[in-house]
Amino acid sequence: MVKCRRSTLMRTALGLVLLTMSTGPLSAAADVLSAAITPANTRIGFTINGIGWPQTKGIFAAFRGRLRVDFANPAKSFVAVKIQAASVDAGGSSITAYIRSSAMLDVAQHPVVDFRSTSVRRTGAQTVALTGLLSFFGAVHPVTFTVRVLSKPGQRPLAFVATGAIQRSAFGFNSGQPLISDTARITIASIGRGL
Amino acid sequence: MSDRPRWSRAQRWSHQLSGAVILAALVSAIAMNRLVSDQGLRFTLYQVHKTLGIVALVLVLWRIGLRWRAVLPEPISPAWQNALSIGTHRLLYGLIFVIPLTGWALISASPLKIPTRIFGLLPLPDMLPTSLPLYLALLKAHAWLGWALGAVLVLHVSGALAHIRDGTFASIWREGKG
Repeated sequence: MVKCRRSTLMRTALGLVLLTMSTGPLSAAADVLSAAITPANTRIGFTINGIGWPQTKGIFAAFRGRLRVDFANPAKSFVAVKIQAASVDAGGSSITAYIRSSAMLDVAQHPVVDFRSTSVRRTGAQTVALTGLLSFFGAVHPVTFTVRVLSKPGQRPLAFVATGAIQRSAFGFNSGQPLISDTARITIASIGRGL
Repeated sequence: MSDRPRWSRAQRWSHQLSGAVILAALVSAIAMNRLVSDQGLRFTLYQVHKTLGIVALVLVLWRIGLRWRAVLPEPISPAWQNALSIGTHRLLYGLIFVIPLTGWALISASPLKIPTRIFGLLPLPDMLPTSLPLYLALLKAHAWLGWALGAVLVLHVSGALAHIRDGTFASIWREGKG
C-alpha cells in the first residue's frame, strides 16, 4: 500500500520535472550546458594491447576543449578537443620517451591531436553515440565514442565517460605492429560544470 | 708449490666483475618478466638488462683473450672432477658469449624498434633486419639459454664451494697460494 502510493508520487514528481524541462522559455537555458574541457575536469587515457607485454596504459596530460550539451535536442550538442601529443605520459620516463620518439607517436612531426564532433545521437536513457573527426598522425578519420552519462538527469556537474577505439592502421600509425595491437582504446572521463 | 701458475689479477677481477654483471642480468630478467607490475619500471628494467648484456659480452671477450694467453693453474682434483669442471667452464663461456648475442639479435629483429643505448648513451646498432618470426624465435632461445645459464651457474658455484678447503675457491678471489 505504502509502496504503491510512493511510486505514484514519484511518477507524478518525475512527470512534473520532465514537463518543466521540456517546455517554456524558463527552462531553455538550463537545458544547455556549456563547459570547458581542461585537465582539471577531464582525464584522457588510452590502453593498447601487445604480445609478450601486458596492456600498456597512458594518458595525455595537456589539452583544451569545449563541450556543449543540449539536453532537449542532443543532436545539437558539440565537442571539440585539442590535445598536445607531447603530453603523453605512460608512467615512467624511459617508456614515455620511447612513446614520444619517432619510433612511436613522433610528437615532433605530429604535435597536435584534434577531435571535433560531427554528430550526436541519443542511444539510451543515459547513453549517447558521439561521432567526430579525429585528426591524428597526419590523417583524419571518423571515430565514434559511446558516451555514458554517470550523473542523474538534471544533476550538476554532468559526469560522463566516453569510450572509443581507433584502428591505428587507418591513420598510418603502424609502429610496433603486429607486436603492438592495431586497436587502441580511448577513455575520456569528464565532469562538466556549467560556464 | 709457490711457482705454480695462478690466476692473474686481471683474470680475477674480470671474473668477479663478470659474475656480478651476469647475476644482475639474470635478476633483471626475472624481475622484468615475472615480478614487476609497474609498466614504467618494467620498461626501464629492459633497458638496464640490455646494457648489462652488452657489458657481459665485452667482459667475456676480454676474459677469453686473457685466458688464451695465460698458463692456467694445474688441476689438483680427481680426473672425473676435472672433466666435470672443464665441461662446466666450457658451457659457461659458451653461454655467456651466446646469450648476449641472441639478446642483441632479438632487439635488432624486434618490430618495436626501441632504440638501445648502452648506459643510456652509446647507441647500439641493429645486427639484423626487422622480422617478427625471427624475433619470436630468438626471444624463446634467449629465455631458454638464460635458464640453462642459471642451472650451469648453480653447478659452477657448487663446485667452487666444494673446493673451499683445497684452496681452489680462494685462488680466484685473492693473490697468493693457489
